[in-house]
Amino acid sequence: MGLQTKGPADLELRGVVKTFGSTLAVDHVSASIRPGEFYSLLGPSGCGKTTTLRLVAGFERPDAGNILLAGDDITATPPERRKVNTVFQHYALFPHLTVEDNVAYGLRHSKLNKEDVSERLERGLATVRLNELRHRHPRELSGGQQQRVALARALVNEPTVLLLDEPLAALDLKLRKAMQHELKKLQERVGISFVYVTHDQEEALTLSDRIAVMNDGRILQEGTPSEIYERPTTRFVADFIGETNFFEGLVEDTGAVTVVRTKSGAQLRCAGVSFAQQGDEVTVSVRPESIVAVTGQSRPANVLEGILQRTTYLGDSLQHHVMLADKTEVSIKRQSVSGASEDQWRVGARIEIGWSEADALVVSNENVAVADAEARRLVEVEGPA
Amino acid sequence: MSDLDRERLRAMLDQPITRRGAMAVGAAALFAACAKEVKVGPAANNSGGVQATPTTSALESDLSIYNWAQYVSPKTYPAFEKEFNVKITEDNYASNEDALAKLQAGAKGYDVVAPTGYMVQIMGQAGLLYELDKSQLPNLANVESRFLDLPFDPGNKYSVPKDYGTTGFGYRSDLVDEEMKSWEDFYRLASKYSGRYTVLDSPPEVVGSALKMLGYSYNSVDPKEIEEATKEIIGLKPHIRKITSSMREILTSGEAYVSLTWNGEIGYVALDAPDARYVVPAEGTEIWLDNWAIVAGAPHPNAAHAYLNWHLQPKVQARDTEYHYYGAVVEGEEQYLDPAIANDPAVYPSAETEAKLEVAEATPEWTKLRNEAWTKFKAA
Amino acid sequence: MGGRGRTQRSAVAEPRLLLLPAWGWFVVFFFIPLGYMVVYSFGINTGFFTVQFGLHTDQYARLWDPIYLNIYKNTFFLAATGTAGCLLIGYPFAYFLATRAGKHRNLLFFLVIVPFWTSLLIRTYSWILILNEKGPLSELLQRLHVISKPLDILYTNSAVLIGVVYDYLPLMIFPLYVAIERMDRSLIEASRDLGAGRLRTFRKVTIPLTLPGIMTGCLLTFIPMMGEYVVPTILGGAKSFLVGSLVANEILTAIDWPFGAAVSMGLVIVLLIAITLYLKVVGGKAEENLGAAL
Repeated sequence: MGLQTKGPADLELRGVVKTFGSTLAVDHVSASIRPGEFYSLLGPSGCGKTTTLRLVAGFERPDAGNILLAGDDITATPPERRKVNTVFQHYALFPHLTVEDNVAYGLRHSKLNKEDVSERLERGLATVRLNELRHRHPRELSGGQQQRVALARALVNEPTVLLLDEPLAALDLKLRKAMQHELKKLQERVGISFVYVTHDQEEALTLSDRIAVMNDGRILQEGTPSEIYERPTTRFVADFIGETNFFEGLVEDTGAVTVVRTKSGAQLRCAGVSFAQQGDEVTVSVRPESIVAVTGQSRPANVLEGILQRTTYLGDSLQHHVMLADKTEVSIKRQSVSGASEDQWRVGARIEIGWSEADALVVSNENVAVADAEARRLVEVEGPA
Repeated sequence: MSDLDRERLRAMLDQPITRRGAMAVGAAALFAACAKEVKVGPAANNSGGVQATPTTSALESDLSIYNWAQYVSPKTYPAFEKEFNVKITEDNYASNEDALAKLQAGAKGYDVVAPTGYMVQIMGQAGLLYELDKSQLPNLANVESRFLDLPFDPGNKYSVPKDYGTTGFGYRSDLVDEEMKSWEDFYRLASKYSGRYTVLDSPPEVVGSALKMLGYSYNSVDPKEIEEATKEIIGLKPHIRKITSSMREILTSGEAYVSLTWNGEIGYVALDAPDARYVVPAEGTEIWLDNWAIVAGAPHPNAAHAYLNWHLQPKVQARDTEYHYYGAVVEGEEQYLDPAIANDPAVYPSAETEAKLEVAEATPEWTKLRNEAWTKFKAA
Repeated sequence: MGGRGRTQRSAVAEPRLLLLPAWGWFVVFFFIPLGYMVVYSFGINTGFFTVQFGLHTDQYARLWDPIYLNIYKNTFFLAATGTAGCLLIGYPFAYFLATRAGKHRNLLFFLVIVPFWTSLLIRTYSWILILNEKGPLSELLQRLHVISKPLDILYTNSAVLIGVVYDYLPLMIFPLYVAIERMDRSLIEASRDLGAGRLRTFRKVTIPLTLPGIMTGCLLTFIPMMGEYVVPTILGGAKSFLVGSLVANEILTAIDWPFGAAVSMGLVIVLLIAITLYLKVVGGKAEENLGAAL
């Protein structure tokens, strides 16, 4: 990936470390957010994503490393003097102030003159369609309305980077979907870089330009949603993003095709990866939708035999569970189209399933950022220098 | 806290806010002038009075006394209990007003109370006291006549005398350069020893001191005279360290040099600060008399009468005077008394001095004027 | 919260009889004494214990004398400065307790409460030892060359102020602690995030949001300070005459109950004004805050 934008990144983290007592909350995190990018920090709770965000906001000070905003080192700058603004998880609206005063809070503490303040306030209220509610207090608003106030309050300050800490987590499913859409449109319109913290992989995949998957304080993998989904480099990422089937084994051969021998003796032909060495213990990840039933005509690179245990109807798709000879259960997802070969999928029947080399991904068992991804990210972070 | 601090704190808390604090028995008498001849005579059976012959059949087995703290010798009650086979319980109050408020509020069970003269008058008028049965009080004959039939209780209808004292001032002669003799000295030197004065926390005594200095009666009810006196005490106020009736500790420590107080207090201070002097001011001052009275509705009236009568014996009185350093009211107690105390002019003022002393005569008007002056003084 | 809900349900379910003890308490210990006071305050003293009752306004007219007005003014001034003192010391302490004390919180709370186990009188007397011109504070300040002469504040208004602030500080700390502890900490971060520095955040967010606690604390300290009697007597050398001392003097020494009652009524009126102001500022949250504090 040689794609580089001119000038410094909007936000850059260099080897940032933060400990709380004996807990290593953020462990040498480095990242670079490009201007206008929607960048998500994705991971389970306690993975360090929120702490990373708070380090950027200035609520916490790193034990080591540097944070740069548009090229300036802000590691020691107090939060009020950082050109970043935050949308808090529970919005943190000021209960004693009206919608208008909440939105204008940051403007009134800036050096803007009165005309600019009111102009930006009006624009901000209009952007999130809050004109009607401007004299209400936060407690008189619905969850979605509060969310919009929080967004407007942060955005009117025109920060270099907007930080969002699970901003949709408190909303119900339907509203969340609607707000996702609104958020994405808003971000494209204002063109401000977003750093978005979430534990919801679907949300991250939908919204982000790039995603950093975190666990145990470290970024395990960083990339576009499709890279993360299609080319996970670790077992953790493959497992966390979407559903998958795992086959454990030893690397037998490397090259254009990586060959992995599973414990039950099956030989799996997989897409080649540079980090795998002969003899390594690895896992092979195969997405359920990549698996097909093998019919006479076309035989994919990998074919295994098993018995169909059960089928679940999922509306737009069907899910099958096949038990292999070594008692591994394989999950298969298939568009629910009526076809001639439908009788293959009879519960209790013997069935051959298979997938291509390209669909079999070798992932590292170690819960660390592996060389492949690390190398790629370093190129981006350091730039041409 | 150091031991010294603890001692000081204990001393402060122990101080009853009265002129009837504890006195060390047999302590060196401070005001002893030249010793005079002491009549030495048989102590026993020489009381000179008629022993009460209580109708023992009617004498109750208990007696409840409501008294100032430590205002009788520790030997007094046991002696009565032994002689009459009556069990005494004592409860204490801190001021005349305190006792008044309790009795007024309907406190039950008390037989005997020890009010000062003006309070006998107030309690009598309020119907809080029992009319005494004189036939049960033959020892009244022992009392010096000048302590009987006084204006606050004509004919001793409600009370018999207990002891007496004066309201003057004491000073530390080691800390004050001048010899102080009069109220005039007291007021004049205040600015020199500013911040080293204390006065009693009681309106009549303080207002009265100014009235006497100005040459008026201690009992003046002339608003003009009271107003003049008020000006004097307001002028004194900036020099006052503390308005308090428990001045013993700060006078002893030398934190204060001059205290308007009662004679017995200075006797106590002198135990530790021998340079403390008590002054009966030259212009004259108050002489007060504390009394025994029986509470209206007393549950044990016969025992109460017996106690009042018994207490009017020279030997009993002398024992208490040696304890609290206030003058006895009966004839002939001096034969039982430590000569140093018997000859102490602070305990027993000379006849010449006594001629200039006045007894407080409280009327509603008298009280009101003094309290108004007091409010102005305090609010100044 | 669950507790409150249950209480309400049972109050609805049970007859109003359950409120009887509370009402009884109020009637016996509040309304009847207050009634006595009102009746007496409209009487006139005709002798030591003879009061002519009626609708005489003489006592209230007497209150307008500058001497007495001045006593009210002095008392108000002491209570106001004392309350301000409690707030100035109590707020940082409560803030620390609520936000930073961590594992020491219980210990610090304990230390705030411990003095309550001792008699007020003893606690007040012990300040004589501390403030004494030969006392430890005086010695220390002289040794540190802060003062050149022995400390001379015992039996002055400064000593009274120190005494009342000390005595009532816990009453200020508790409601403040509750208010600060309850405040959403992310609001402070939000304010900082929006460009407001520490001081401005404190002024614009922390103070407005803890205002109910501030008002409750002020009310809880102001009321007893207005009636203060012990501290001025002990630490002020009885030289400063406050309303409490005036009432005591009128009732006990002057035996003028009607005037004493009128003086007390004056105090009641001043406090009613203070409470009305409080309710106006704090509004509906008053009950909640008082409840939480007590």
